Amino acid sequence: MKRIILSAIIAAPMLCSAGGFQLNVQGVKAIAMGGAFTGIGSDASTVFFNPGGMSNLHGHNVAAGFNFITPSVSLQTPETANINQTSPNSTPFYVYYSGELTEKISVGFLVNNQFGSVSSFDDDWQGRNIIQNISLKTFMFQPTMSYKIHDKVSIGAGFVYGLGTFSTEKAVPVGSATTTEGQAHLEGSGDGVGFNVGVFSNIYSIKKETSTTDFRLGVSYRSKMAVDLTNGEATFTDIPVSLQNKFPAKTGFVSKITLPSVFTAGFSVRYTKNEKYSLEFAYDLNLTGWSSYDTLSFDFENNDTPDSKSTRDWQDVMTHRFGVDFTYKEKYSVRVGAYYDNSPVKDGYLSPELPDATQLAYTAGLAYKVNNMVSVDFGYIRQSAERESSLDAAGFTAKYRRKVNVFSLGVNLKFGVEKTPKIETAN
Amino acid sequence: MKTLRYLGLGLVTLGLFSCTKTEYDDFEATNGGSADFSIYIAVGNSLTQGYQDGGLHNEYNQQDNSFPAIIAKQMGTTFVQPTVKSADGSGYRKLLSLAPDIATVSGAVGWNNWDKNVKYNNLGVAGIKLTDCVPPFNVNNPYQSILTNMNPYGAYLDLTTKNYLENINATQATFFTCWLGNNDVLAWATNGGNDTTVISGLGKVNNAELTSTAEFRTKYDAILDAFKAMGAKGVCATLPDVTAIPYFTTVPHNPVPLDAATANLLMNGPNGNDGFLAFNAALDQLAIGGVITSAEAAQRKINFTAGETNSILIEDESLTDLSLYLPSSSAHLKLARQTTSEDLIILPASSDIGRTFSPIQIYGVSVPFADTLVLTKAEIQEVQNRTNLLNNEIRTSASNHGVAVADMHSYMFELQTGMTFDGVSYTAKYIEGGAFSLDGVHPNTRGYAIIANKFIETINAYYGSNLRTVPVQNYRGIIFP
Repeated sequence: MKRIILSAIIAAPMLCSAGGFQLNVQGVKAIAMGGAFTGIGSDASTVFFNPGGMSNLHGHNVAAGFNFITPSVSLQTPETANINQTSPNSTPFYVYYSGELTEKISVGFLVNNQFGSVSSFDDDWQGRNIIQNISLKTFMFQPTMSYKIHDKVSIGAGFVYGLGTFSTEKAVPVGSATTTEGQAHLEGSGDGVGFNVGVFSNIYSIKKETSTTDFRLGVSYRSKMAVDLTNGEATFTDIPVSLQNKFPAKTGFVSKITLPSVFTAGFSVRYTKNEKYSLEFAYDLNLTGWSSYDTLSFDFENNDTPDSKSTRDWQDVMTHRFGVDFTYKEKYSVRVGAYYDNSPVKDGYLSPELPDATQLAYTAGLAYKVNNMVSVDFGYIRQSAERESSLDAAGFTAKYRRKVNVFSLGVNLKFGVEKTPKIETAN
Repeated sequence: MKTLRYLGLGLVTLGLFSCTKTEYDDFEATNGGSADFSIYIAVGNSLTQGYQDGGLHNEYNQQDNSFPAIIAKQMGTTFVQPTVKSADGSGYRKLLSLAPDIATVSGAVGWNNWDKNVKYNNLGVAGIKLTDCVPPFNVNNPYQSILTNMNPYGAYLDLTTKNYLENINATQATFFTCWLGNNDVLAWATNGGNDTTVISGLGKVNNAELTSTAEFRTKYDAILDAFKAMGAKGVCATLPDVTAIPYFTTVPHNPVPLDAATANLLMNGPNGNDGFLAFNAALDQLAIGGVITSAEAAQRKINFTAGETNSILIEDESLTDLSLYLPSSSAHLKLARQTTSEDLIILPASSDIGRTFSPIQIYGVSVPFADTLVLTKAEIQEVQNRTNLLNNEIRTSASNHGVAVADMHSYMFELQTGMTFDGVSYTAKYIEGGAFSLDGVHPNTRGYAIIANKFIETINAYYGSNLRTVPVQNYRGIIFP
């Protein structure tokens, strides 16, 4: 019967997300619980979510996960009944390690894709002069350390090194006797640095004869990061000869993409009934500093090429994340969650490359603990949103429908724990 | 239990796939609202006929995409145009370099060898004025009917036995667009504010006069009466301010570069006492003598200096004719003055600037530009005032006949400040603005698409129809070399 209930949950009509180009898929347990994890800290993904939580883990912990994101986006403009984005699926991954160095000090490391966006359209679509393809990929590397300053409180901090690659294509609206339009292709990469700090507290426990209730708190802050694209290369093709000094076959460009800061405060409450089952509720509040994404400009090396500067003017937004975990006999877990995501994109600034919308998204997941060393997690996110708005600077208005499925698979490994493997009841 | 499990799995799969469908349904079928688009007739001039780059041509479907043809396609109605018989049509201008160097492609013989028996939907005739469409015709202009009959762009209509209005009456229009009247102000302006033009074989012809408000109204009413009589609904368009088009706004008033030696030679003359300084002194004497006012003397003084921004020397017919007072050596300066920033120089004059007859006879510098190449401040005001008055008549006439009005007059000003469609910006500037063709008067195909969209929005708003606008960049812009 349990399976059927689960099926019903997943198959129920679900709505779906946004969050700018932030990829909120950094831990399968968090994915399944609406993205709330800052006050849970139960596996190595806390290196990302809250470095302070590392002190809560014993022994060596490794978490690795892989996501499969399948977006489906359609548009309707006043002129065209239906336009489908042809965006490919994306596959962000993460690897985390957290290890106990001494009783008070833990060290960790992470590699993940925290930001990214891939959007594609047919080359001849109506908005081809705004965007045909765009791709932003980031890789973050973060050596991290945590320190237990008190029986109930630990802090953590990490240095973040980020690599970004960016490419975009659009049509140039000039034609000749043999061509109808030119083509611009911009490509660049760059890097930047930032930091990640967090505080974690097992603030309170109520222990009874047959049950324990744990209250935990977490606060974390990931700094913004400016990724400088200093070596960008622009190529222009199919340009009429008379305009080739303006749009040369090849020229350099510089640009800068600022990834936003994220402040999170969260808590969790876990009720454990003997060894029979446990029920955990978690809530996170994110404050994402998208206002750092105010303009996107490209300064070309070639003087005759008109520099491009587009105003994004995104706004800081709050996201509320909720999740519930039910674990049976410390082995089988079922998780559900939801998050309410406010779009950082104001009306009048909505671009077809990222038709972000305020929405309620649903999540679910399963976990199976194979043994004390290995557990396997499955997570799922469903985003579904509609929005009608314009990109005023481009004279473009459209209705958007966006549905996204995210499937995530993760594995947690734990070794080197001497006695009790029950990290959940640690402290 | 097993069945239930499969059922569960099936539900999951179904749930995921049904939820990823995001496609929008097709637009609903075209609905005319209170209008009937089954027979659409377009009346007008070159703008309606699909003329651009100084000709009617179709090598990149320019004429096929006249603005009425674009509208008709959105209506889903049959629309027959008198399409040029060869792609080069009447000939046209072609961009050779961005200097700009513009060449003329000559037309092909027989390009307008049209079948007069076909019932055409597009009744645009390049060059036609509203006054040419409706009798009575101008008794002071004996050439009016001759010019209409021999207008090569009207050769698809029988204009010898039937005037233009009678040709309209022969249609069974259910819907029409009427954009007539542009040439009733434009011809005068493009001639630098002159009533006459010289036509080879006929000499000076009075065909460029500004049309009077009363005559305009009577004839406009006659056109709308004709459509009303056949029960057709439609849309009229106002006349843009012609002084805002690139034909007048491209050539600056002060484009003459001079080095110090040339400027000195011009001012002092070859003998040191017979240059413009001497002429300026003579103007002061004429002012003292009362022939001209001191203000006119000041206005007419000529000053060239070393630099890039010397004003052009022009003739201004509103000035006092000084031929009786000037020595024969400066007789050509009888109506001369230099331009100010309030004068507009017509586009074709750009090729005349600096053209030399001899080292000392430089066009626009020592030899004044003809009055026909310049629209002076007073002439600009006159044509703007007349345009406003005629537009009032168009609005009143349309309102009296229950017909919609597309306000192209205000839309042209919007284009001047800039419009953006799907990521591409347009202005009223020559070539770089993206909307005008190489003749500087007519739009290119993208400009016509912008115009078609304005008509479509007006029709929808007035008649409650659901015509779709078109994506502007799906049409050709300027053909760059």
